[in-house]
Amino acid sequence: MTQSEARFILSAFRPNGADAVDPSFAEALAQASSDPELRAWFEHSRAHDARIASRLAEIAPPPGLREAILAGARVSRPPPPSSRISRFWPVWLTVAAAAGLAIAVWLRGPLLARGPSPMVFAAFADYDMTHGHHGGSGAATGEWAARLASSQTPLSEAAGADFDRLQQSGCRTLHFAGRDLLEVCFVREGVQYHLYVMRGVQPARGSAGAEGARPPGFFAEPGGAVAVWSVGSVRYAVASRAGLASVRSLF
Amino acid sequence: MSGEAFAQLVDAHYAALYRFALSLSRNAPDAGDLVQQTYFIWATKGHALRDAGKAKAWLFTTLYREFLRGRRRDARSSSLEDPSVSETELAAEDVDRAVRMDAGTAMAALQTVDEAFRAPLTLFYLQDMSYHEIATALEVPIGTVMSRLSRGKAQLRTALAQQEKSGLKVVPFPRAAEGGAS
Repeated sequence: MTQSEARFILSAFRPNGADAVDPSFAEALAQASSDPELRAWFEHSRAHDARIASRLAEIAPPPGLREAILAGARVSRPPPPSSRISRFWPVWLTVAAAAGLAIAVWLRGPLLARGPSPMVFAAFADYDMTHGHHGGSGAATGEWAARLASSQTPLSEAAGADFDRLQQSGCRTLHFAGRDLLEVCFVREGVQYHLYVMRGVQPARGSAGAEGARPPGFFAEPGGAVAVWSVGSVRYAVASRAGLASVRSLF
Repeated sequence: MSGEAFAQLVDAHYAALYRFALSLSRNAPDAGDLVQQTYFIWATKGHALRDAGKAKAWLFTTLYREFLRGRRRDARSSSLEDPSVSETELAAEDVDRAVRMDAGTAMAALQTVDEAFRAPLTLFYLQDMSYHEIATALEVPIGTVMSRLSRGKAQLRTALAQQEKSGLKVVPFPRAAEGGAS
């Protein structure tokens, strides 16, 4: 083995010594012990690697991330059999409990400003579409649903709404991840959809386009399909039992 | 998987996954999203994994796949496998420089390394995985991991030297002791 080959292999030797028992390194380590130049290089290399490793270990996850992970997992769990629920526990209360539990842990920390990740929001929309009690009231809600149903424009352009007016007029309002969100049902070309609107979230910097817009991401869920997108600080999800093709056709 | 077992799985790996995600995505919000999504996928599909001992590799692989799936390829990607990347010799001042740097500087420098080298390099520095396990997690041959580690380290040394030369100010990351997590 040449010195160059030994260096190449020793570059993969972890600075904490965890690879000392790995036979793949035995020959290179033996050579380092007998070659002063290689040994000096290896000592420098390990010292350098150890310093970087210890610095990276100092970086802590943001407060609230652990709770957000646990909340997201709770939303994803399948509900108990409906017959058992309906005898003792109204379905809407189950939804509220699942959402409330998620919120309770999510409310803490900076992740609150960030809002749920698109995947978690999609899971929530799917869960509510499947198990929630739908139906809002008020003229404003009706107008909104009619606009969504008849619009020929892509949903991402038609979904904008006067959040406060809709909420005050009786539009169905849920609470998730520390925020109120509106839900409205509409039908396009014979297919029923559920639109969820959450405001006050920060779009991801990495994927944000013009005016903070985040293009739709599509998720196949147990109950159907969901698309999630953002415009500025408003995050939308549209869910349908009709599947991905129907959801994609809205955009 | 019970809620308690899931919480244990989160506690065991979420900090390392976050550091890996931060290195890949280069910003904290996206890193948080990636970690959330990884565990969310585990909660919906991961229970099918029969060998619990492979959970760690599964999580890192899934996070990496999610990152690759979600990011838009830009012009930078075309240079990832550029064979002209030169390997600089490790010098004594590199070690001195490493002694002086803080966590934010280290991560900022790591984030400048080309993506193909950055993923194995970050996993190497997290020290949780051998190069065999890194190869499995990233789904690349073992020889490729070694090559990328060697070249990635060279790029990292260059980045650290440039940072020091330019006196670049780096916003410090929260430290484990301050954030209450490790």
